[in-house]
Amino acid sequence: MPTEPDRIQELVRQMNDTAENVEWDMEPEDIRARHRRRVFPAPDPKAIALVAAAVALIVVGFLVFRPAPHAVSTATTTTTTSGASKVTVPNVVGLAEAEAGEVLAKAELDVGAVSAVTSTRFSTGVVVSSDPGAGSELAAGASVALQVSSGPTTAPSTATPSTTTSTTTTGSALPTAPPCDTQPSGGSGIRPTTIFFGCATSNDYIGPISWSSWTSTTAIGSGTHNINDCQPECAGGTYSKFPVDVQLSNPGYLDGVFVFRTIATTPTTGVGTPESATATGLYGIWGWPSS
Amino acid sequence: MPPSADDAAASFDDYFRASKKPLLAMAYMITGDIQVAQDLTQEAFLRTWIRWPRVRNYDDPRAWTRKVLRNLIISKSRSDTVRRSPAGSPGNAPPPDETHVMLAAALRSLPENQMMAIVLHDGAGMSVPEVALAMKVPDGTVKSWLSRGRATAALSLDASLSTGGR
Repeated sequence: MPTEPDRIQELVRQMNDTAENVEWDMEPEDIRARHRRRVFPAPDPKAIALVAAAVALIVVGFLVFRPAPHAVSTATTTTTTSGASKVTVPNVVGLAEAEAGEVLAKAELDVGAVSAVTSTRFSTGVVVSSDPGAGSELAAGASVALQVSSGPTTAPSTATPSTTTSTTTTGSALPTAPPCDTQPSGGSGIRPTTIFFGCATSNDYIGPISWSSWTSTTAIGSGTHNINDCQPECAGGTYSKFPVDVQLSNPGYLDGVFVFRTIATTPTTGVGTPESATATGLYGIWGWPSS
Repeated sequence: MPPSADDAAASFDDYFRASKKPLLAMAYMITGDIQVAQDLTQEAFLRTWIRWPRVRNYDDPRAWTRKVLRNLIISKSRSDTVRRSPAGSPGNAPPPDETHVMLAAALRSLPENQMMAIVLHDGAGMSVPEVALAMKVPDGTVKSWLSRGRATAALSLDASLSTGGR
């Protein structure tokens, strides 16, 4: 016996009443508390996953170039006073000169010679490279030479390398890759079309992304944010998807690779929540195909 | 905390209390699963709260939350056929009703306008003019959505009944 359309109306009303009669002790305060947990992640397992993601982190880098693997051509490395404790040179690239000094001081290192170099990639006053580079081992108290950007002196129209006059250029100076915004698209995987928050998993990722702007300091694009609710488990979870604007910033080195270290997303339709992460280390998963 | 924050919280509380049941009911009508409906309704309220400073000034804030909720439901049902309620539903949640599950699926498969017209009119008991106002269309359009939607839903309900559901 076929169902009559009127029967639909009846059934739908019945469903409405069923739901309205369900006792649901959800209070507005619960909603606001949940929001706070999301914004200031604490004990919520989902939030923990997010934090783990940020720590485990993969960011988003883009490979501007492979730094010549610490080919310190000049043997300028300090004469190590025997017996002095060893410290590791921190990454100071991308910091203002004064900040770099503070970071080095914390690592028990001194600022050595400071030279100015032209750079299309870094704004004036920002450290372009250090000698020796991040990760090198030095005796505590040794000095690290800095190269600080004096801004672009040559018009960046041609892909002029950002390196300096050859004065103090050592192997750890900026490689001579052209600024990325002059790279042909379809290049070597510089502009990711997919970015993952978190390690190896794809429970929270943005993609596909199309980049509208890609400069030496920021990259701006838009894409879809995909978040697995991991319910009941990640394997059988459901993805919510919403459009976002994506911004990459904070360029610098991570484990010797030059990347954007901060990513921030902003939902564009009123659906979804913003997300951001800053890389502290680089994992083996780059997570993007070449575009 | 600026005074406006307290004010925002208070107005959200009022809004929440007034909208909680109708929105949960809407979610149930198109998911057929009270737990899923609660989860998604909560999420929709959360997103409303995040944007409350703006949403509260809308003519019809509930229309905004409804839209968010509808999107949540649709994207959920696209990626998984809405999961059956797991054993041990908390509270007094009724066990999933097979007919409700099938009817919800039938409603979800309707064009969005027809689905919403049925949910608001047949389910929530809004009058045709009220639905027309909420959906910003003439009364006649609502009536035609209702009758076409019911007819299609009846057919797909019969189809799932004859196959014993999925």
